[in-house]
Amino acid sequence: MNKLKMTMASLLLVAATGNAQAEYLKAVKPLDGYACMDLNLTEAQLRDNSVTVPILTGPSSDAPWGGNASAIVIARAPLHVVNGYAEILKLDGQPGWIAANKLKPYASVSNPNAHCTPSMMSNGRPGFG
Amino acid sequence: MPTPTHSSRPRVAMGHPPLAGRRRLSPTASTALFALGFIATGLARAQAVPQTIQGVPEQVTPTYLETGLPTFTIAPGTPTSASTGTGSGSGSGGTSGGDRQALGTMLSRTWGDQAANNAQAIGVSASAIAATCVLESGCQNVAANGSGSVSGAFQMTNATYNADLAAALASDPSLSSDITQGLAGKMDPATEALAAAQDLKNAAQSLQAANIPDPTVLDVRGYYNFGASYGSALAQASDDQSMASILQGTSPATLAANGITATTTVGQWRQGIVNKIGTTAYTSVLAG
Repeated sequence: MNKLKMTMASLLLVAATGNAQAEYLKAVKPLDGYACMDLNLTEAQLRDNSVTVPILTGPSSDAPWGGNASAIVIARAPLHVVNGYAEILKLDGQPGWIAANKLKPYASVSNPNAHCTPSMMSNGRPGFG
Repeated sequence: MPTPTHSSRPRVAMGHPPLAGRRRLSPTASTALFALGFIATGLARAQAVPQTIQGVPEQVTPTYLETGLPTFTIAPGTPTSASTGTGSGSGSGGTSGGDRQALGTMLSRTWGDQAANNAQAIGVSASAIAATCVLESGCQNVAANGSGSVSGAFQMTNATYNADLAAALASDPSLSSDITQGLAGKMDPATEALAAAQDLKNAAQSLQAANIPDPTVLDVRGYYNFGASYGSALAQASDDQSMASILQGTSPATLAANGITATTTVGQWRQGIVNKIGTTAYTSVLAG
């Protein structure tokens, strides 16, 4: 009997969790002045943890590290390059800078028909629509 | 008149009544005979009936506590009849026993304790490194397969291993005395654990820079499994997004080799991880 109660409670918890997670992230509106771009890395390099593209907090090699770039980045459009670094928008809404030669136009390898539009998401942060 | 139940039925002396002239045994002799009978019965049972441990067996002393989880007392199991085992962690997980299952699996290996020590030496929780070896190899020291260089209990490539090990030793040069030098160290799980822990640390720090203040094992899994370039995006992805939409630089063939189809969602991928390591998935990577 106790097992039955515990099972029922577990199912209810799972159902409740599922409902809570059902409110998925959605693109709310496009971000004007930005475009999706890919890191200029091979497929093997993208999966290699010894290969990272640092995001710097300023357009200089001396600027503090601000994380690692994702395979797809939101870049200023047209590209805003200063001192060899291109301005991007991090997914937390903060600006960042990536070596401009590490960027290339967006194209999906996993799905050649895919499109990418930098967007403001339903959580109030930048993302991809 | 109701039929008396078994328990209420008056006890009836079995066997023959004492014979006249039969000498009663002294209490000491009775006790000795009883003890002999008990021992004989026990021996006979030990030979005839297989005994197993039901419940939690004797556990490794939990030196490496699971960050964020309440402590609980492990009650050692008692011998009883055979029952089904607890499985290898491929169930739905989520129980307190499952919380420590990954750590228990790693610590059951001869190298497990040293692997945990190496991880903690550079600030990574023992649970996180244990979960990684469970997910990567079931904590088996696996040789490279085919033309790739991925090998060991933590399934690292040569390039990643070398880079991470160098970073770990740079942060604490004293660790070099406890490891297997050179690329051979990748097949020494305790040494590879140091490099793998550095990779998890890199992942956690990368996610912290992306505004995820306390990255969990689940958060960093994308970084470790699919590469640094996907780590942040996977950690921040919504459950309904497809894996292919995140791993856009990955060919469908590579995705298929990782068990990911065009319709596999991030939520399904995450659930697969939770199924294997239980709530260890939600523990912090960085040791407190």
